[in-house]
Amino acid sequence: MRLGPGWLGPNSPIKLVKALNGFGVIGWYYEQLRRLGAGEAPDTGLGVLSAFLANQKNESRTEKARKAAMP
Amino acid sequence: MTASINTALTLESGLTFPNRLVKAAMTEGLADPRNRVTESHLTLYRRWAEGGIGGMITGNVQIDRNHLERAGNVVIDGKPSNEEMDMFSRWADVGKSHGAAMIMQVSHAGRQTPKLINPSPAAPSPVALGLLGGQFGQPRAMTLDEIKAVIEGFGRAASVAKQAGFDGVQVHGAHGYLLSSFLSPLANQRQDDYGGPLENRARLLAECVRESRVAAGPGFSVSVKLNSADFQKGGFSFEDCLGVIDILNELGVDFVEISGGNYEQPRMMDSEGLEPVFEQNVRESTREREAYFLKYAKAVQARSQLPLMVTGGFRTTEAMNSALAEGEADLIGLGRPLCVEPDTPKQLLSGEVAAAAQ
Repeated sequence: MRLGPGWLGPNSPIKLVKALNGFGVIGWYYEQLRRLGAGEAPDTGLGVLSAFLANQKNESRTEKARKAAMP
Repeated sequence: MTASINTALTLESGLTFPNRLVKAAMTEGLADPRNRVTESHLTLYRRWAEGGIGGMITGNVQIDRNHLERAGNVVIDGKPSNEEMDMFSRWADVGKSHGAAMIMQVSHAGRQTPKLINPSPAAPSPVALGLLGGQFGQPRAMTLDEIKAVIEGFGRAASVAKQAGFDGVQVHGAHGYLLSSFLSPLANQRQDDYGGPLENRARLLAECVRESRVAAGPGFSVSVKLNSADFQKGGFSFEDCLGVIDILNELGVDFVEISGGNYEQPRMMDSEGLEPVFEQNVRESTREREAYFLKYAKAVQARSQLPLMVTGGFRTTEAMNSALAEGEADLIGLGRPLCVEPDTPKQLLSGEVAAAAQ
C-alpha cells in the first residue's frame, strides 16, 4: 500500500513523501473501521492519497465538534 | 497437549480465551463529540464478535480528555453518568456475545497528543517529537501532582471497566504514549524518582498497573502492552524491555503484549520513520520475519513465565501454530486483517483459509 510507485512509495528519499505514505496507510485503515462501524463493507479499492485526505478532513471536523461540545 | 490457535487458554485471573486469536487494540475514532461510546462502536464490535475471535482489546480509552491520540477517542475521566455506564456495558456485552474475552485498553496519549487537541501536552520532559508537519505541540514536563492524577485515572478506568462487565484492562505502555515515553531515556530526562535508571523510568507504569489491580479487585485481568524496543538510537532498548518484564513479573500481571515502535519510528505499522531503524541484537528465523516481534517474545519467554501475546505481521496459520506450539507466544494478536475481513478468525480456525489478508 503506497501513494505511488518509485519515489512516491514508503521508501522515498523525500522525507515528506515518506511521512505521507505512513499517514496515508493509517488513514486507509481508519476509513475501513469507520465503514465497519457504520455497518458498511470495507472498501479495499480505496486509494492511499484519498484515505489520507479524507482522514485529515474527518479528524479536523471531529475535533471542531468536540471543542464545540465542551462545557 | 500442543497448543494451537484452536486451543483455549485460561489466565491467572481466571479469564478464559476460547481460542488463541485476539484482536489487538486499534483506535476506532468513533466516539461522539463528548468522547462517549456510540452505536458505531457496538456495530463494529458485534461484527468482530461474530467473526469468531477469542478475545478483543478495545482501542485506547483515554483517562484525560486533553490528552487524546485522536479526537474520536472514548474517555473516562470522571464518574460516568448512568447513560454513559449503560453504553460501556453494552459495549462489553456485544464484544462477549459470541464467547470472546473483552478487554479495555487504557491509555494517556502524552506528547503524542495532536496539536489540534492540545498544543502543550503533558510529558515526562519537554522533549518534542522529531516529526515533520507540525502536527504535535511542544510538550511540558509533568508535575508530581499530575503524575498522581494519571495513576488515579488508570485506577478509575479499571473500576469503570469492571463495573461495565469488561473482563479486564490492558495498560498501554507501548508505542510512545505517556507511559511508554516515561520508559524512554530519550523522552524522559527527569531528575526525580520517575527519571534516570530503568527502575525509575518504569515507576509510573508499575504504579498504574498496581492502581488498576487495587481499583478493580480480584478476578479481573490486568495486562500490559509493552514495546520490545523503540528502535531509536539511545531509546528504550530490548535490554530495558527485559528489565521491565522482571518488574511486571513481580507485579503479577495477567499477560504482556509485545509490540514495538512509536510515532517517530513506527515499527508497529511495519514502517520505518524518518531516521533509520536502530536494530536490536536478537537472532531471527523465517517465521520471525513474518511476525516481526516474535524474536523478542522468544527471548522474553526465556526470562519469564508471563503469558505473552504477540502482535504484528502474523498472517499464516502455520506461523501462528508454530509460535504457539514452540511456546514463543500464548496469544496471537491480529489487527489489520480484521479491518478488511472481520471473519478472518472463523476462517483460520476452521481451516477454510491458511492465511489472513495481507
